[in-house]
Amino acid sequence: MATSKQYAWYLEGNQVAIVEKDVSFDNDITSKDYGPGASRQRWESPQSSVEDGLKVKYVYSPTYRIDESEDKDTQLDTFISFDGLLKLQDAGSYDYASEKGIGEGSYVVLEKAGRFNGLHKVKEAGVGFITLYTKYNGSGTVAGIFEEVPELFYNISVLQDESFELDLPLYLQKALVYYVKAKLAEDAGELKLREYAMREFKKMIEKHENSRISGLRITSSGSHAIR
Amino acid sequence: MKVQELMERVGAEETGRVIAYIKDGLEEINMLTETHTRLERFDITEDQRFYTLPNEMVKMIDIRVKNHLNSKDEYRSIPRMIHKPVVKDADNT
Repeated sequence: MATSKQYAWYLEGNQVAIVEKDVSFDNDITSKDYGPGASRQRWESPQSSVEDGLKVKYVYSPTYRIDESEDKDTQLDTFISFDGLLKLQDAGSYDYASEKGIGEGSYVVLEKAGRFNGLHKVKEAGVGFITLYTKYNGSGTVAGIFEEVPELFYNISVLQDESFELDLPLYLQKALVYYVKAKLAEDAGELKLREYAMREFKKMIEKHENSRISGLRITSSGSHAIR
Repeated sequence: MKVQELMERVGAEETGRVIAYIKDGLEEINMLTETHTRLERFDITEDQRFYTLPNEMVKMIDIRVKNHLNSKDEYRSIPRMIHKPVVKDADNT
């Protein structure tokens, strides 16, 4: 059976720091000072490795749509820096250009790829590799290994022209219209119109939020309470 | 709604500028309310304190760790520290 542990987190730049409580019990029955208690109790780096031990749930911006979730590749396993760009590699000899139709200028979405999750633009694809326009300043010789099997989606629509269908609830699409109006008014120096449109935008967001929660809202310290 | 319709509603003709503002707006909406969420798993490595967050992350909702205050392999939310711990990470990685 797994043993119970105690963790906490804090932020440092774009990284999350995970610390574990290290407790050394001081209840040696051969000691004349025997008694319950702990001789050491402090927060340190994780005391042991845990596979899939950390889950981070986050919000991302929907600037793309995955058109077919079946159109994905799961053969990529390593990554490397190539002229300062991110190059994805697989151990086999799969031709991504001819088999998947991935080429210069096309877009791919990575999932289960840790820090590289999200939308990427392709620079080049070939046998066993895909080079992206994404900047990466890691090692150019020692390949990094993905912790999980990354999923690469290649049949996607990207917000880059007028034909893109916004992936938002209907009500929030109207709020987005007010946001764009506000920004255009700001550019034109029409600050009254900007304030009005931005107020409407925020009001609609609040109404959207409230439409899903009925009754009273009670404020209380939750699981993320500061210790 | 397509971008085309949004452009007609705001009376704009410059596609590039409107798309830039739409991207800003989508981020702003997701800062205020959550429309698209994703869960990412990381391996916890002994003596490794820092883990790089996904670049696409707009807002973090929750951090859960396996066996936190339980021994049943359950993932539970962990608290945030207000002060950094006294014991520093050995190699700051």
